[in-house]
Formats: sequence, C-alpha cells, structure tokens
Amino acid sequence: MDITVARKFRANQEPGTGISNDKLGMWIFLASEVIFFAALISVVVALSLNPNEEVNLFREHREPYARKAIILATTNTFVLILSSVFVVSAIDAIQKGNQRMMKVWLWLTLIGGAAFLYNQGQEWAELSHILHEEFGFAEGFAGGTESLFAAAFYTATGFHGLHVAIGVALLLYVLVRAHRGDFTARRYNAIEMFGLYWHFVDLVWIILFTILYLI
Amino acid sequence: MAKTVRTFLSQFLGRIPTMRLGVGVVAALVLMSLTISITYAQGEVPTQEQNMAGAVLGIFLALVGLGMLTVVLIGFVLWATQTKIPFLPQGEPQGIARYFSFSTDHKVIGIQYFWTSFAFFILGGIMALLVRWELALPGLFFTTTQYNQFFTMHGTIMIFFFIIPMLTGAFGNYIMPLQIGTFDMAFPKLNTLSFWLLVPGGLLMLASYFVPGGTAQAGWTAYPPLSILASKQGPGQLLWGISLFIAGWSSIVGGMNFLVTIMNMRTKGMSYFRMPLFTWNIAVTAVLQVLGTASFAAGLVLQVMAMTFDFPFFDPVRGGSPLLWQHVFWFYSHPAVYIMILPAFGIISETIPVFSRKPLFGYRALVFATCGIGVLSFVVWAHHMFTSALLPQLRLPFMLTTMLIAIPSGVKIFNWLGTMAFGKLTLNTSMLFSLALVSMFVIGGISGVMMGSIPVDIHLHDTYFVVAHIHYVLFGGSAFAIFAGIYYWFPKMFGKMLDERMGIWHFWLSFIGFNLAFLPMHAVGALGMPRRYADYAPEFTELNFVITVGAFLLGFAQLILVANMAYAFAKGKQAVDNPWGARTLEWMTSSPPPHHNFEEPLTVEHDPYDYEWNPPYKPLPETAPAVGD
Repeated sequence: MDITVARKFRANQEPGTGISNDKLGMWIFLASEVIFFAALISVVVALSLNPNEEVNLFREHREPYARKAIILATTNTFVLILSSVFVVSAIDAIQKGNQRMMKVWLWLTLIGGAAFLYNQGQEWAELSHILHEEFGFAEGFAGGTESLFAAAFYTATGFHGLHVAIGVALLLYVLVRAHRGDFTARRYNAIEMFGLYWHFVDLVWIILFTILYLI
Repeated sequence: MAKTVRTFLSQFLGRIPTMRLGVGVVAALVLMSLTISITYAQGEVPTQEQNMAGAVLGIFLALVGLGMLTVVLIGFVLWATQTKIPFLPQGEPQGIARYFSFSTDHKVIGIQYFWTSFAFFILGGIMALLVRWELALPGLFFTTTQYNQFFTMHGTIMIFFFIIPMLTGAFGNYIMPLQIGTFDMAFPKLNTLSFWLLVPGGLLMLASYFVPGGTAQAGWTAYPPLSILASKQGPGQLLWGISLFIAGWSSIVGGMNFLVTIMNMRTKGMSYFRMPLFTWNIAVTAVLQVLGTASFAAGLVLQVMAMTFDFPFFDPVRGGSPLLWQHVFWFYSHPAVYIMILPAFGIISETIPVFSRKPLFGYRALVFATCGIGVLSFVVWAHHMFTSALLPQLRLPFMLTTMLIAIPSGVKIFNWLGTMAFGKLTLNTSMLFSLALVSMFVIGGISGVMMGSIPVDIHLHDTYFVVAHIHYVLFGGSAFAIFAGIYYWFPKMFGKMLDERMGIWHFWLSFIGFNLAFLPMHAVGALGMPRRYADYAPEFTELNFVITVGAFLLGFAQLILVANMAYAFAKGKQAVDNPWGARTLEWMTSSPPPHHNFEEPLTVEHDPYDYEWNPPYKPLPETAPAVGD
C-alpha cells in the first residue's frame, strides 16, 4: 500500500470511533475469544451439574485432586497475575522512554508465562497420578476417557494453556522488536496489543481456576 | 510457472508475517489431523487397499504440513535476523498472477473468494443432484453410507464454503469498502489470511473423501452420537470437524476486519445513517460472525476431543450429555442462518431501489430491523431442539422469541414492497432475482413461523417439511440474492456486462426448477416422509420424482449462468462506470476500480438512494441497458 495514498484517504475520513484500528480490532477479536471460553466454561459447568447421581462423578473425581493441587494452582494463578502486572510495567517504562526497564519487564513477563506453562504441565501430571491412585484409571491423558472431570479439565486448561503458549510466542516477536529498538515513547503499539491479549488470558484463567478448583 | 512459485516463496518468506502465522496454524492442524488418519489406517478399517491409500495420503499430507512449518520457521529466522534473499522477486504480481498470490488488495481477495465459493457451489450442487438421483425412485441406487455422505457434504459445502464466503467474502470484501468510499480494508493482511485459511479448510474437507472409510456422514449438524459413531469408521468425520474449525477462523478474522473497517474508515460525510443498506447488513453480519463462530469452534473442539481421545462429553453412560453439542452448535448455527440471509437482504436492498428508480422506503426502519434480527438471532437457538428432550418449560420462551423474529423480517418485506410501489420498475435479471427473493422468502419465512410453534414442530420435526423450509430461505433467499448480486455487480467487478437474454433464461429456469423441487417437499414432509433416509415408502414416489426433475432443471439452469459468465469474458460488452444509474459510491469509480478504488477521496453530501438529488453526478449513461426512462 502506497503510504501517501493511504494518508490522503485517511485525512478525508469520518471521525469514526476515535480508537485506533489495531486496538478496536483487538477488542473485537477478544470479544470472539470471550464467547469461545464462555462456551467451554459453560460446558464444564453444565457437565458438573448433571442431576443423575449415578453417572455424575464430576465432583467425586475433582475432590481429591483439588485438595492436593490447590497450593500449586494458587501459586500459578499468582504467577500469571504477576506477569500481567509486568506487561503494564513494561508499557509504563516505554512511555517514560526507558528502553532498558521495558526490556527487563518484558523478559520477566516471558519468564512468568513460561513458568505458568511448566506448572500447568505439573498439574496435568498430578491429576493423572491422583486419578490413577484413587480410582485406578489409566495413567496420562487416557484418564480422560474414564473421568468426565479429567476430560473437562484437560480440554479447558489445555485450550487456555494453548492461549498462554501463543502469548509466549507473540512475546518472543515483541522481544525481538524491542531488542531491535523498534519501540519509542510514542510508538509501542505492539506491546500494548500484546498486553491486551495477555490480560485476557489472565482473566480467563481466574475464572477457570474458580470453577475447576474452588466451587 | 517457476516465477509463480518464486513469488509464492518470496511472500511466504519475506513479506507477509500474518501469512506465516496462518500457515503455521494450518500446518499444525493439517499435521495433527493427518497423523491421526495414519493411526486409523493402521487400525481396524475396511480393506487393505484402503489402509494403504489412507497411509500414503496421510504421510504425504503430513510431509506437506511439516514442509509448511519449516518454511514458517525459516521465515521467522529471516525476519528476526533481517536477512534479504536476493533472487526472490519483490513487489505485487500483476495480471492473472494476482489471483494466485497473497495479494492484500480487497478487490483481488473478493474475486478470489468469488471463484473459490463458486467452484464449491458447483461441487455442492453435484452432491445435491446425487442425493436426488437416489431419491428419484424407491429402492437403493447408492449404498446408504454413500447417500449419507452426499447429503452431509452437500449441506456442509453449500453453507460453509458457498453461501457464507460468497456473501461476506466475495461481495462483502469487494463492495463494502467501495460503498463507504475507503481505499482498502482496515487490516489488508488479515484479509489475505482470511481467504487463505478458507482454501486449506476447503481442501481438507474435500480430502476427507479420500481417507479410509470416506468422508463425514453425520449430516451438516453432526449430532452426537451419530458423529462419534461415524468417526469410528474412519477419520473423515474428524477431518470434517478440523476443516470447519479452519473455515471458522477465516470467518472470525473476516468479520473482525469488516467491523473495524466500517466503524473507522468511512469517508467524509458517510455517517452511519448514510451507509448503504448492504454495508449495514455486512456490519450486523460481522457481529454475528465474530460472536457466533467462536461458540461453534468450542463445540468442534469438544467433538474433536471426543473423537480422538474418546472423551466422554457426549456419552450419557459416562456422565456426559449429547444435548451439550446441540446447544453449543445451535448457539452458532442459528445466528449462522442470519449470517447467510442478512447480506442477501442487503443485496436486494440495493437492487430494488435502483431498479424501481425510487429512494428506499423506510431506510431507518430497515436498519433497525437488521439490528433487531441480529440481536434476536442469539436468543432463539433452542427452537431447533423442541423434540430433543429440552426442558418443557424452556420451549415456550424460545417459541415466543422465534415468532418475534417475524416482526423485523416483515418490516423488511413491507419496506421493499413500499419501495417498489409506484416506482418505475425495470424487470432485468437482477431485479427478477430480487423479486424472487421477496416472494420466496415470504414462503420460507412463514413455514419457519409454522415450525416455530411447538405443536406443529413436534409433528413436522425431521421431516421433508424442514428441508423445504431451509431451501426456501437458503436457496430462495440467499442463493437468489447471490444471483441478483452477480448480475448487479458483475460489471463493477469484472468490467463486463452479463448477457440479459441468457440471464432471463437463467432466472426463469431457476425459478421454475426451484419451485418444482422444493414446493412438493412441503407436502411429502407434512405427509410424514422423514429426511435423511436413502429410501422411502412407495406412496411418496410421484412427488419425489417431480422433486428430482425440478432439482435437475435447477441444476441445469446454473450451467446457463456459467455460460453467461464465460461469454461475458470472451465477448461481453464493456461495462461503463455506472450502468444502472445507481447512487451508491461503488458506482462512482471506474469498472473495475483502480488499485486504490478512487482517484481522489470522496466527500458524501447525500443519502445513498436519493434519486431526486442530482448535481455532481454524471447523467445516466446512454448505453445503460433497459434502465427506466
């Protein structure tokens, strides 16, 4: 696209929403993601509420796991919230023109995301282990075929984990650009976009955590 | 050839990071699905030859996926290290080669969508004719499995790969930015991605025909346990799910792009209430696409999990529920029928005022009716489930919301009639198809209201009456509007006029074939013939034979459209800028428009259908074929 042509057309536009295209697009995309997770989460809730007590072992299977893994999961929640705070700090730093601190905060965010993924893996192993010990189900992913809770847990946290992993990949992209010196106190769009996504992922986890571990 | 390959490579490797992202996603999904098909091929499947075929195809496509991933990784490294490859060509390809490239021009993408979905229309049509061939006479011609596959693929292809991409992808992409006077979409690269996600999605859908056990056979609705059982016969059902997941991404990305473009990029003076109705309908459709499709994606995730890992989501014995899928699916698929009909309403809201030479009657009422349909479409989904052991107390509210939708739909019908009243009508092909939509959609709409009432639905559910209804709204509605749109915008898109004589033949044969095929379905349905069965009781023979004759007539009529387009490219009359004397902005530029749509940015000072308002426009061209005056 020829920049001068684009500029000429942009100068002759209706005011629009006043929000930049990127940000508006990101919000709309996140609205779509909200529905995706809303559907997954309502499926999990609906399954846990099956009134037929003979087949509804959702809570029975969850109970021993939630009791044991709650500490790790809480820590993990804290790690993810913290990494969300780091992104905000990174934006704050670049707004003040502080390149060095921005990079530090972004690296810390990356560590937070990676740590979350590692811990999530631990939790999966833990769940499969406990189901095996308590109920004699097959080890590993196959436990999901016998336990509805495990199936719902793997699917919901798996897709959330996938979003975290995608976030980490996006962060790598942002980091390459940060080290290249692409961002200035006025131009830091990519960090902001990534931040929006990262907060969303964080928010979804808080709801998932509540549903899978607490209530 | 070598040049095309090099252009492709250069675009993969160097120029469009978004494409790499998309290719990476698709590669991962292709890899996943085909690894699974290899696993199937080694397991228990019908015959040895099929095992071999499946394994070979699986390995081949897995290698393709691996190759794509490698290209993505190389591309990332090249980008991160800022390396340039000298021998690869730079810049946009020109001429025909544009349509085989990752062009970011919304007009090129619109045309890519146009031909892709048109090809799928032909394919889906052939499937429909095969279904009708089987049902022409009682007894079995194909095997029942083949029959199930035909109607499953017919429904899936027509809905997800013809109507939705044709209306939103082709017309939405090409016409909407022109109508709001902008130079391109808000995210041109995401637009490219949106199209190039549809292609692997469609190819995967077709590839499912060649895996052991054949393609999906659980209907386009894929209710469990049918779909889960089908997936035990081979990976076709699974490929169906993954293919739609990819196509769903294409839809979400496209919808998001439309919304941002419409909200942020209108030219000066184009306030919301000066936008042409087609753009309004695309905007509401985009909301439905963005919000609804995500729910479908979640449902597909559950299906894929249940198929591959045998997760018990839909198995009542292990605590799951088959109804889960129906809720999640219809939460998308009811809005999806409005994704398929709203842009169609938009198209005829353009053609009717133009060919009546009158301003659109009740512009604001039409806009609010469109928004009303958009909102209501999210709260009616359970009317598809009146007989599915839905909580009885829930039926009544869903019946009421369903009937409420008739109000905004009726507003639209009456506004179109009001537009035509005392107008100077031009009955050319585009207008005839628009009129066909108005009349046929009334029939489809009324049969919809009938089935929305619980006692009637309990009798008619899963009979041919439902098939008649869906075809009256989707063929009589969406497809007729697509034809109206093709005859109306073909001069703008390709710079050639379609032949009116052939067009009239196309219209009348389609219209007669359509009614011959689908009107008797109401009768056989009300008499109790169930849908989706390969055979039927002998008392339905006569009507079914008539239906089949009508279907083949309808199929034949579409060949005229193909011939007409071929003729237009070979010998068609050159189109002038504004052959219909329309007032919307897409006609204020050359046919086809230049690279940036308009030579200079426009400022709008009038309403879109203001036929009394004259000055800065050129008078109606002399060559305008059969337009009024």
